[in-house]
Amino acid sequence: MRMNESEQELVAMVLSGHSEAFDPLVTPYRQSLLTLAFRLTRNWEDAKEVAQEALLRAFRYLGRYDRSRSFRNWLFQIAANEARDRLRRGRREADIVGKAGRELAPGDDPESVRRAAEFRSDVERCLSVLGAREREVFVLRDLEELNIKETARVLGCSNVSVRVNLSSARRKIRDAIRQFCPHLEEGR
Amino acid sequence: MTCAKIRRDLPLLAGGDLPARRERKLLAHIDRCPGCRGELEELRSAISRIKVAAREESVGDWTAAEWKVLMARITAEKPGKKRPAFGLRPRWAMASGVAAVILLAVLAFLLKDSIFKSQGTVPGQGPLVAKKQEPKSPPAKLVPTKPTDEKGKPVPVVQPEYLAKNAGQAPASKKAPVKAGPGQDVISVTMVSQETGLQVVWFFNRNFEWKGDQK
Repeated sequence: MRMNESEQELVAMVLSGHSEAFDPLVTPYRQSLLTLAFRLTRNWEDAKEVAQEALLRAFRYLGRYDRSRSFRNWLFQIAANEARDRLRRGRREADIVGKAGRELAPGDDPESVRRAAEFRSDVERCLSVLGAREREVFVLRDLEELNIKETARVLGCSNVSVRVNLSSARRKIRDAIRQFCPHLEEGR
Repeated sequence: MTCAKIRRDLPLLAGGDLPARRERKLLAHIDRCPGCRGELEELRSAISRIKVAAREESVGDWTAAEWKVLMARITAEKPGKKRPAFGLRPRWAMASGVAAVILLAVLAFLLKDSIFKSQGTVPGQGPLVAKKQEPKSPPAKLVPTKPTDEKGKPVPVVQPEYLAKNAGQAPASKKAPVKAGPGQDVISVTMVSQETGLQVVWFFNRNFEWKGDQK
């Protein structure tokens, strides 16, 4: 997926000093960026910080962005690096599950929030059996639906490495679902 | 193909991540093998179920106010820079630059002579004045010449006997036996034996250094 024309224009505007063009440039990706950060860190506060840092770095280093690439994947790459650094520093890893997910907002339906929390818990249990690299590969390929080549580029590794990690991640996920959440329904 | 080999690739087949040719091979085996087919179905189901759960978990989003504050904070910085400032460039880049300057300086020092000669100038001395070329013909090629005066008349030759007889005395002749003209660079002295008629010619340069002889 390459950068579209409007994105090209927005990037050019930001680089020429029109900082206000950055908001419409990143708004289409704000949700997916936050989701990716949450799936990699499994902590809502960390996810917000990772996503914020990724946006800040994207703005700061926009001049280095290769326009032949997908802007979304470039953002994902920054976020993945930031999440990896954060996890390496070992912050809040001990109590990841307890603080996962966002708090109840005033307009939310309690039932849907409860269901969402259950799903979050299931996903967390499954992802917790994966190693760091397996998790990154699995999240990007299967949950964010990048292809193998894009995943490799975002993570800065080879296609072979992605295939190997993806293969073992899928086996582990299958075993984890069988063990922890056999109640999960299959999608259409 | 054995089941063990097939099962190694099943996770990738379940996600559609194998090349078409490999996929066809595996599917051909799976059609005949219920064990491998069962495992493939299980893997596909697991991927599908985790995707559903991930879609339903509702991660959340920034509130409008949070987003506004975030954008204001980000755009308060300077927009994307093309390159870091000179002082922030990587060390290897600075080291390479310094090495290149040193190399150029060394090369300039070593090649200075040839460069300035070809340009006809030496720093601090201005343009070179063409020097008078001194004859550099080897002694073997020297043509014996008899000393002559400025008008081209032959000058008396100093004979060895004369030299031996008048050693330590001033020469009787007013004219020098060997005369070097103002522009003369090569001086020859010819000695002739009265008994055998053998002639020996010695050649000297301007500083009266012996350059060769001819018999």
